[in-house]
Amino acid sequence: MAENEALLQCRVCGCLSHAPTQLKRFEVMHCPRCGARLKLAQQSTSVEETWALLIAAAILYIPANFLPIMSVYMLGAGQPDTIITGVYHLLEAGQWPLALIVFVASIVVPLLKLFTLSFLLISIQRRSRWRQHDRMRLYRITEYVGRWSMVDVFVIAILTGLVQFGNLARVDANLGSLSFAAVVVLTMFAARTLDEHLIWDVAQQEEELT
Amino acid sequence: MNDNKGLDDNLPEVEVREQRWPSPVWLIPLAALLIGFWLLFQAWYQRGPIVTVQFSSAEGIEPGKTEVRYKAVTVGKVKKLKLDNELKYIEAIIELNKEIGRHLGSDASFWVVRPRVNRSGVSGLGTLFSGSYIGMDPGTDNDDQSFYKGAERPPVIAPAEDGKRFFLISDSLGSMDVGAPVFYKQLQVGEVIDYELLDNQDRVQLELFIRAPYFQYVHKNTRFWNASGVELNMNSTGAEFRMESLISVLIGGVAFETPAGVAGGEVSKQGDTFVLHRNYASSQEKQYATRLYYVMYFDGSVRGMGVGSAVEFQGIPIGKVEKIDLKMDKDSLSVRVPVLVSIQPQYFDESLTKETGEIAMSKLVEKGMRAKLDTVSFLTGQKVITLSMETDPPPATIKATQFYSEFPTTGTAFEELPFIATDIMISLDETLAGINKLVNSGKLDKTVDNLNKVLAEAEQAVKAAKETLKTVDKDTLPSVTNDVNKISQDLSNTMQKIQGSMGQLDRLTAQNSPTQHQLQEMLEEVTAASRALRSLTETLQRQPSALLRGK
Repeated sequence: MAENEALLQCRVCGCLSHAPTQLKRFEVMHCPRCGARLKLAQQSTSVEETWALLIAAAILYIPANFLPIMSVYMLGAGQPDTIITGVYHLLEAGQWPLALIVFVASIVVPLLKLFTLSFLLISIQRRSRWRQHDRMRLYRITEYVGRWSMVDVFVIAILTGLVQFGNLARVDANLGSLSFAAVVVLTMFAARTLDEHLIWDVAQQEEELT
Repeated sequence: MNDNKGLDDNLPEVEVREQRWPSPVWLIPLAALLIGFWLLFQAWYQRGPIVTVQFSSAEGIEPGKTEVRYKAVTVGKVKKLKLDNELKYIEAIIELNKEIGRHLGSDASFWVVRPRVNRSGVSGLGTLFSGSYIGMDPGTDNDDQSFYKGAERPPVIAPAEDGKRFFLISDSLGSMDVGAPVFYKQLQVGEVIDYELLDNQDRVQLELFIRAPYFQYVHKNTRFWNASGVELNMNSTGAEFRMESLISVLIGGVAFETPAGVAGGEVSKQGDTFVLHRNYASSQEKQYATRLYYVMYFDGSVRGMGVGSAVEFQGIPIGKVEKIDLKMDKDSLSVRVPVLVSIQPQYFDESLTKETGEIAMSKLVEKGMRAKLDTVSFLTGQKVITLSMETDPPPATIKATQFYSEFPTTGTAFEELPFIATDIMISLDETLAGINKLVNSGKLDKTVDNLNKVLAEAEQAVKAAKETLKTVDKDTLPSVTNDVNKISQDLSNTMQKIQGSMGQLDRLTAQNSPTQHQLQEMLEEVTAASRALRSLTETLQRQPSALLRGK
């Protein structure tokens, strides 16, 4: 039994190999044939990677909101706008449905994603069994909605490409849009790398134990 | 089990490696951290100083929109506008960027740029679309401060080209403005870069910039004149029209020239000061510094003379009228017209100074020099003051008075009229006296006696003539009378006949006479006929076949 447990199959080349009975700290296993990393179920790096991406996204969220994302110049007049001032200008112009869309897609959704993913990660790490079904649903919603934040980035990209009429009208992308795009992409990757099986790991392990 | 074991034996061992480093996925947050820091650092680093600038009006300034530009490069933006404590000025809170912040000095200046018309056409036209912006000059030193006073107009930014600056002193600015062109032989060689009112001198000083190769034409004796507008001179020599360029007509300008016949002198240094003459003509006058002022009283009207009218000596202008006044003596109610003139004695002799000039003038007056009004043109009625040497004038001197010395005058040709009239009166008087003498001498009585005799003889002659006439009557008159009667009868017959035919004519032409009526009818008939004829010809013209086939 012990020996059976010690047999590992490489997921890349299919090579079977003997696993050492005990692994020391900082020691990791690699396939003897192709050199690919061999992992046990409990060694999953999903949580770690998700945390890394999530933290990166959280860091970039600050410049994304404080730096101007786009400058619109009409007839030589105009100024760089951050997301918040953009929303404010839209509200001032009476375009509150548009302002609402921008506000939700650019501020609320990324922020919610950051919080829900952190919440999921923490609950996984604490091996919580609290409302697993709802957490599952929350994860799916997060993963689905996340991509819609890219709308903003695409709008900026298209406007910057199309509206270049010199002094008449000009749209420039600013550094903020870059970090905003990075936030959206990083949270999308974070949602991807989070293994939803881990939510159920607790249940599985308990079943094994019993 | 054995198989299994055999299999197991062939299986390789898992390669165990040591990995002390955390997963490489942590490089991503690290990179994010670095990028985030870099971005924020950039934003912080590019943040320049925030200054407060005071303006008198916020016209055209919009917080968050109005830019601050230096040499047309945007270097900052107005963040906020607020009123100062006394509600007198507005204060614009301006955020400048880092580069300009490094060069911001205590003598930095800010001003609002609005559309403006100047030499290069219309400047600041862009501000019509973009709104006004705030121009700035960072100044020379690096002691930046946080509060500045905004200027009302752009400061002088010296052209970066090679050239020299000169100063002009003028009585008034005229239509000159910063940017007004400077012409040399109608070439634009520079521009006016600044002007200011000189303190306690009541004069305007203009600062000129003349470009590199041209400043060498500015000599010590070069004359500058205001070339603004059109110069139209009407004087004793006729009309003269002068215009430097169309631009200068619109926005003014300065022209300079070194008069021919005047030694140019050395090339002027930067910063030399010149006089700006009112116009070309005055710039071309000989510039004699010494002027003597005299007041002249003329008895007659000074119509046709004005300030600037010439004072001539034998046709050469040697001075001009400075002022014409009215002066009444309160007690005697006698009104006089004092004419203040300036005379440049150096026209007579260049070596004369003010003192020697005065002496020379008084000597000339002693010799008989007098001023009088002279009409140069009967067409325009223009007058000049001529100084001329009178032969045998009543003695006079230049009388020193409280303000200006009085120059003796004598009347004009017109003013001499009364004197001539007096002469005529005198001779008339003499004639009358002669007549008187004749009457009183007794010769006349004799003449009257003679006349009586003559008259008696004449009476006799008339009587004789009557006699003769009577005889004539008797013989010839009857036959003549018959003839005349006959003729008059014939005449009246003829008249009667004429009257009759006239009456008939009257009847014919009377308003309701049948003839008249018939005539009218006939005319109407003819009109109708001609109308029909016309329609016929028109029909034929359109369709000649109607002649054959009918309509």
